[in-house]
Order: sequence, then C-alpha cells, then structure tokens
Amino acid sequence: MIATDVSRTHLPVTGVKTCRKPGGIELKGLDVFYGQKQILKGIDLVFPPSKVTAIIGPSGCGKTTLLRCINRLNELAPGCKVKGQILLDGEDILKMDPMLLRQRVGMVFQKPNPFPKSIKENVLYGVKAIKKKCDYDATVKSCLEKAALWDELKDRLHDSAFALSIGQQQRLCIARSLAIVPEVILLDEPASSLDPISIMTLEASIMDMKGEYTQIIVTHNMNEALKISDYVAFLYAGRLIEFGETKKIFTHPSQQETHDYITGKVY
Amino acid sequence: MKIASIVALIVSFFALGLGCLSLARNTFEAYPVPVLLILSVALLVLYFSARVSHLEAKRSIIIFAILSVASAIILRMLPIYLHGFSINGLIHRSMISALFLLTLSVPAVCYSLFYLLGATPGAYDISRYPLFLVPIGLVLTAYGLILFRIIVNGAPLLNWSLIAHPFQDQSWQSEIWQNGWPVWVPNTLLQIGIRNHILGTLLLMALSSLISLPIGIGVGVFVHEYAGPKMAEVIKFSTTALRAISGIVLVVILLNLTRFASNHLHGTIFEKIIKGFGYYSGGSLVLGNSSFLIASIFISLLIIPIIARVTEEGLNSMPRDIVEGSVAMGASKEHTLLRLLLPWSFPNIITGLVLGCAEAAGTLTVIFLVAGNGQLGVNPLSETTSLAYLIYDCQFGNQLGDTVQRYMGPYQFTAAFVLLAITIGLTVIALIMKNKIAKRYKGA
Amino acid sequence: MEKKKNAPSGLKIFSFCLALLPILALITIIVVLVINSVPAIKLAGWNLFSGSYHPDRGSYGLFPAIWGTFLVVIVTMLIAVPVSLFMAILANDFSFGFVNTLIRWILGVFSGIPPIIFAVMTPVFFNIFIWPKFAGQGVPESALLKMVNNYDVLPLYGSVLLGGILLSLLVIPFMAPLIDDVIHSIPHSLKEASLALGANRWHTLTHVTLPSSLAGLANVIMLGILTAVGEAIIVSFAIGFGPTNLPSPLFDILERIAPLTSTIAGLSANGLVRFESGSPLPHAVSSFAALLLILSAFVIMGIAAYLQRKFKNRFNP
Repeated sequence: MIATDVSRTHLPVTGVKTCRKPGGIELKGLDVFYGQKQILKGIDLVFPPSKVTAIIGPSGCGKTTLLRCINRLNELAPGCKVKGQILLDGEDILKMDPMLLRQRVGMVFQKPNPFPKSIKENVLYGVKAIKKKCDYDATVKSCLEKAALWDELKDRLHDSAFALSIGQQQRLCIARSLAIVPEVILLDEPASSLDPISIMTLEASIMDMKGEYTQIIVTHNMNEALKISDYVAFLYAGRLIEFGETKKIFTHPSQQETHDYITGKVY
Repeated sequence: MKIASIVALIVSFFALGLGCLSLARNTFEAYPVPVLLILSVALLVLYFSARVSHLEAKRSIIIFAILSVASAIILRMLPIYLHGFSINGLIHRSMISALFLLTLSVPAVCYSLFYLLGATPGAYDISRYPLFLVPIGLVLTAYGLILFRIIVNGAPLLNWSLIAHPFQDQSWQSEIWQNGWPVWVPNTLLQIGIRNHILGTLLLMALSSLISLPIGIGVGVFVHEYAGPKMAEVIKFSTTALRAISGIVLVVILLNLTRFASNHLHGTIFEKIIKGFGYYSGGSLVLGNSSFLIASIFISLLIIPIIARVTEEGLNSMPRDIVEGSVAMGASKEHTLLRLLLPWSFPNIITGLVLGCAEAAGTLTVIFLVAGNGQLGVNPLSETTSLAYLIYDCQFGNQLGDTVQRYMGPYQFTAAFVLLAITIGLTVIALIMKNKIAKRYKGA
Repeated sequence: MEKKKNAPSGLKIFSFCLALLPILALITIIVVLVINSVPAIKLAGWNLFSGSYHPDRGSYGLFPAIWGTFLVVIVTMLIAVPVSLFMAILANDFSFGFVNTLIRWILGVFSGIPPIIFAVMTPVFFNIFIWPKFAGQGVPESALLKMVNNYDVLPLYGSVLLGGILLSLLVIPFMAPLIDDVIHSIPHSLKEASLALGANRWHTLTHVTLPSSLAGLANVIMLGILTAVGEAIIVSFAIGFGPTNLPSPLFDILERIAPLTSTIAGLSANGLVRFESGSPLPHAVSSFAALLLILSAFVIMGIAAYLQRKFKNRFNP
C-alpha cells in the first residue's frame, strides 16, 4: 500500500511535485539486540506526522540505533536482531522489502558522504536507482533550492562533489535524499561536523521542510533541539524515559532523569 | 504468476544441470535442442504472466527467449564435430550446446527467481546469486577434482618403506676374486623411495629461510627506519622486481654459473661446491648440476620480497604513540628498534617466514633444469633435489635421459600428495597465525 | 651547545648492506643476461623476432613465443578475473551466513598450492575436458583424416586452452583475496548512503563500489598478469617446449604455441628441445628471451602504476 494521494504543494517556479503526504512512524514494543547485548528495551513511541521530533539522551543510550531501525540500516551490522513492530502509516516495515521502505524514508548521516561523482549525479543518484521517471533537470533544481544550494552551485553542477565545503556537502546530502520524495527524513546528528554558519543554514532548511516531511533528528545539542523541534523524546540506557512537546519537556520535565540530563548533571 | 515462475525455475534449473552434464560428457546429444525450445517457451510464459500481473516485465526476457530458439536452430544444423578454418582441433557439438545452455539458463534462473520472490528490489538482489554461484561452482569443482585425484592416486601408494628409502639407481664395477683371478663384476643398486626427495625439500626450505631471513629483515628495517624517500623507492622497486621476474630467469643465471664452474673452475673445490655431488656411474663420481647451497641462494631471491614486505607491515603496524613514548624517554632509534619494534613484528615475520617456506618447498621453476635425484644423500653440498623435481622428472624423464620415469612413474602422484600435504600444512599454519595477529590488533 | 656529530650506528650500516643485496642481485642478473645475449644479437640479429622457431634448423624467431605468452595470458585472465571478482563480491556485499568465512578459508588454503600440483593434473584435465570436446576422442584415425584435410592440423596433446585453464586455477586464489581487500576497503559510509537512498545492493555494487575500486582492481589484475606471464611449470607441462610457427588463424587456442617461459626452459636444457649442436646460439637466445621477459615484467609494472594514478585521480577525493 503506497500512499497514493499526493500533496497539493507545487513549487510555483518549477511546477514539480516535491512531496507526498508525510507519514507517521509508530514504534510498538521495540527490542533491539546486537548479539547478546540488548540495546533498546521495550520502546513504545509515536512520531507525529509532518512535525520535527528530536531524540536526545547521553552517549551510548541507543539513539542512533533507534534511528537506524526506522530505515532498517541496522540490519547491515552482523548479529542484529529486531523484535517488536515499527509501523509507517500503519504498515509494519519489518515485513516490507527494505529497499521499498528506504524509498519512503530518507536519511542524512553524521558525516557528509557524497558519492565520488558530480553534484548533479549525486542528486539524481537515488532517482536513477529506483528508476523513477521524472524531469531530471527540474528535480535537481528544486532539490538544490530546498537545500539552499541552488544559488551557489547552479553554474557548477558538473563539478565533483568533493570540491564542496563540508557544510555544502551536508546540504548536498539533504538535497540527494529529497530527490526520491520520501515521506520521512531521518537526521543523525547532522550538524556535528559543521561550523556555526553552516549549522544555521542547516537549521533553516529543516524548519523550511516542516509540514512537508516528518523529520526525526538525533542531537546532542540541546539548544538545537529547543530551536527546531516540535516534540522531544528522551532516551536513557535503551529505554524511553519521556516524550512530549518541546516546550513542556524543557520547562517542566516530569521525570527526574530528564531533569538531570537537561540541567547538565548527566551526560 | 507464482505457478509460471515456479515452472520457469524448474525448467531453467534443468537446463543448467543439462549444461553442466554436457560440459562433462559427450553423450547427452538428444536433449539440448528440446530443452532449449522448452526454455524459450517458459521464458515467454514468464514474460506474459508478468504483464498480466502488472509486475515490472523486463523486455530482455524476450531477447533471451529469441536467443534460445535461435541456438536450438543452430544446434540442429551443426554436425557432430566442427572443424575448418585451420583450427587445430575438432570441436564436439556438445561443447557448443553446453555453452548455449549455460549462458541461457543462468539468466533464466535469475529471472524466474526474481518473479518468484515478488519482483521487489530485494528480490532482484537475491536473483543475482545464481550469476555468481555458477562460475564459482565450476571453479570449485575443478579444485575438488584436483584434490580428489591427487589423494586417490597418491595416498594408497604411500607406505613407510617409500618414505624411508632414497631413490637409488647406481651401477659400478667391483672386483672380486674368482678361481684365483680378479674379475670385474657389475653391481647395481636399485631402490625405490622418496626419502631423499623429502629431505631435499626440507633442506631447501631451511637453507633459503636461513639466507632470506636476515636479508629480508634488513631490507624491511632499512626501508622503514633509515631510508630517504628516493632510496626507499629504489629498494622497494628492486625487491618487488625480484619477485616479478619469474624463476625462469633465475634458472638461466644458475645455468650460467654451472657452466662457468664446469669450464673455468674444473677440478677445483669450488666446482664441487657449486655443482654438488651427484651419483656414481660406472665407478666414478658424477657431479650434479647445482648444490643445495647455490640453489637456496637463488630461491631466497624469491622469498626476500615476502619477508621484507611483512617486516615493513609489522613495523608500520605499531601504534604511533607507543613509539613516541619510547623516543620521549630518550631511547635511541636502535634501542627502540631492537627492543620494541622488532619483537612486536615477530608474529608478522614468522608468518612471512612460514609463507616463504611453503613457497620454497613448492618451487620448481628455479631448480627444474639443474636438479637431480639425490642419490648420494642430502647435505648442503650435494646435488639439489626436491619432491617437486621428482614430479617433473616422472613426466619428462625420457627427454632428460635418466631412468626415474621407468621406476618411479607410478609414484608421481604420491610425491604430489606429500608435497601437497607439506604446503597446505604450512599455509594453514600461516593463516592461523594471521588470524591471531589480527585479533591482537582488535584487542589493542 | 655544540652539535654532536651523529655517527651512523652499526645497525644502520648493517641493514644498509643487507638492503643493498637485492639491488645488487637485480643488477647482476640483468648484466649477466645482457652479456650472454650478445652472441644472439650478433649472429641472429633481427631474425630473433621472426615468426618461425625451429632450433634444429637454426632459426630462432621468438615471435611465436611472445604470441604464445599473450594468448595464454588472455585465456587465463578471461577465466580468472570474473571468477575472482565474483568470489570477492560474494564474500563482501552479497554474503549470507557462513559463506563469507568459508570462501576466505578456501582461498587461503588454495593460495599456497605450488604450481607443480596444477601441472601434474595436465593429463587428467586433458582426458576429462580437452580430449572429448576438442580433440576428437573416440574418432578413428581414418575418419579423422577424412574430416581434416590438412594433416598438419590434427588435434594434439597439449594446447593453449589447457594451459590457460590450469593457469587460471593457479591465479584465482592469488587474485581473489586481493580483490576482496580492495572491495573491503571502500568506506562503509558510501555503501550506506547508497542503500539509504533506496538503491538495492546490485545497484550499489555497480554504481558505487566497483567504480570506486577501479584503482585497486587495476593493480590486482596487473599482478595477476605478471604471475601468469612468469609461470613456467604449468605451461611446460600443458603446452611443451616448442618448436612452432605462428598459428594460421592467429587466435587458435587449440594449438601448441609455447610461451616465452617454456621456450627459455627448452633452450636452456639439453634434451628438452633438439637444436643444432655446437652452436652457441641456444644459450644466447635463452638469455635474450629472459631479457625480454624481464622487460615485459617492467612494462606491466609500469602500466599498473600508470593505471593506479589515473583511476585514483578520477575517483578519490
């Protein structure tokens, strides 16, 4: 069952449909094991559609594992076992074909990893891989615009992607994952290798994409979580401690561990 | 859809099996043509049921179906043996049919798997496996055949007396008293055994390791520690070049040395050292063509690059901070080298040594024109001999003018078996050591 | 503070002397070969490159030998490169369960097998594969002669095809682990990025992994070619030592065209090949052929270095 109603958002400039109805993710009783070690214990969580949810928590508590479960990249690691249910728009993704899943759930990694190809080929990689028929040039333009790169790169589309700065590379990775028109975008600490100006541009892009995509971002930076997210989930030692709206979590956390983490007593 | 893909899968597996059988035997003459026709029908059925079920129907299936029909037609028109165009052979028709069957059935298996599993991208990946597995399977069968033949032909003939006795084929005249008169009586000694060959192999291993170990470690240490970039380039290039130029070049030089010794050093002790003691024929000592000493020097030229490379890898693998810690304490470069880096690289060096020994045991290229059969015992100054040489001699003995082929012919595979056991044993030891080294880094 | 003069330590001098030995050995080899091949160049001149190699008649054209090496290497690489590539891909990107470690162990064990073992299987492979399929097994002599008009083109015992097959069995366990290392060293993040975009593993393989590993692949293939060119034992058993002319269809791999290495062996030993007695040419020509071999090895190493530079610039940051 593929979401068949496409959102009526058309960008006036290029007339290219850029998104579909963003889906909601629901985790039910999720347990993740790497070999004998249990990383995530009984997570029950609902990520609201079209909103930005931030996952925060100390190092090693399983945030990245949780994120990688949603597009099933954790299956690449040997010895990984996933129990429970993960639903995308009501469908259990653990029973889906992983490639079809990843056409609906995009990911931006911690360290930018552009392919050793030209900028244009990088953006079109996913589109060509899933053999989607569309206007290539228009797609490139709209995706780079969304990632705030079009003005800088419109004359350099055939340059190698490695010639860009780290901030530009990260935004190229975002543009690349937008080209396949996903419903959900996962961001794994996207700002951790960037300088402050690039971080600002990145956060602006994320705010722009609100409403069109469901975004789940893992971050260490609490200011960032406060600034850009609508909802926050706090993870500690593999368990979900608290989940709620950002303002409420940061001002009146209901659990003691959340309070300790936010005020800096635990890291 | 499922039924169509299962039927297509069965038909293409059958075609694959028939292709392999045709590769092995000439007798399945009647089957390829009908099987190819059925295959093309199955492919067409697959294509149309994919269209009907609204799955992604690949156009190339039709191309394969057409190719399959065309090859059936071609096969019908061919005579049993193809010849002509001055090609030096008669190609049997089953070779062509095996070729057609294999190249057409593998894609057919892939396509039917793809549709059987639902035509998703994940199914596409799984359907690529037959493409990989068929060539690998053919090659592994060839390896299995080699091991099987050597073990089956060689192992039953292996007994203790074979190992314990050296090969002897000597004749001499001795003087005995008969009726008061001295009479020259011919004596022969004929013995079948491979003891000296085994000992020769071991001696070659030992001598070449002895020579190449210090040189290899010296090269590795010098390149790692002391050499400037240009010098390091030159040394690295010449060490790899020694390995790149094959053993056959070394044997030409070795022959030059032997000839030089025969012509210019005739009668001296040097000639004996270089040429080695051979065997007695008609009462006089015949010198061999090369002694173990000289042969090991040449073989070690092949092993030095291995040891140099593993020494350098071992020295490089020491974590930088530990080396800096030692230097910061005021230790001299030599001290760091001898006490810290070399002991750390010992496992690497020993692994390289074991690999080099396996190489030396099996090397025939350097000695096959100068070796003999070791009838006078095995010591560094006697004639070079080795198990590998025995195998070679059993094959080409007639042309070399000696009698080994007549007496030791049946034992060719036994010698191969013993050699295989030695080299595989050494390689397995080296592999286990490599694993242990890798674990050491993981822990560190 | 006065600068203390650092005398080179004993270890440095010692290792320097040891390190010089390979260089000296290489130079000595080349010098000896050059000196020995002077009679060949003087006496035979350009005939050394003619197409007819009949030592018993005095013609020492080496072109058939060079062509033989070329054909054997092509047959070997056509079999060995795809199989090694598939093995490496199976062990890395397409692995399932235990296949990974199994393939690595099998390759490890077989990499140590000396070439003589493969060579001794020549009659077995001939009887199983070449004779039934390519040499008219079971066809009586009269029928054979009727089928084949020219007596010179009757099927023979050895052929380039047989040598190529056995040589590829030698080269595969050598190349496959190296290709495995090359593919293993592609950064995991690239593969993950490709998979995260919805591409399947095959697309990742052909569009990301293989283009990025071209430099390493070129290097490994050149190493394989180097091994195949220098291999003397297997081709001696499977093809023989000569004498030959150039084959009439040039690409006839069912002929016995002795490659350079077994030609050298034939010329160097008494009895393997008949040549006119008393002539200094055989040894001189074998030295010359050995020089050709060294030259070709250097050329191959040079091509490998060039290809590595070219591919590295295209694909790596």
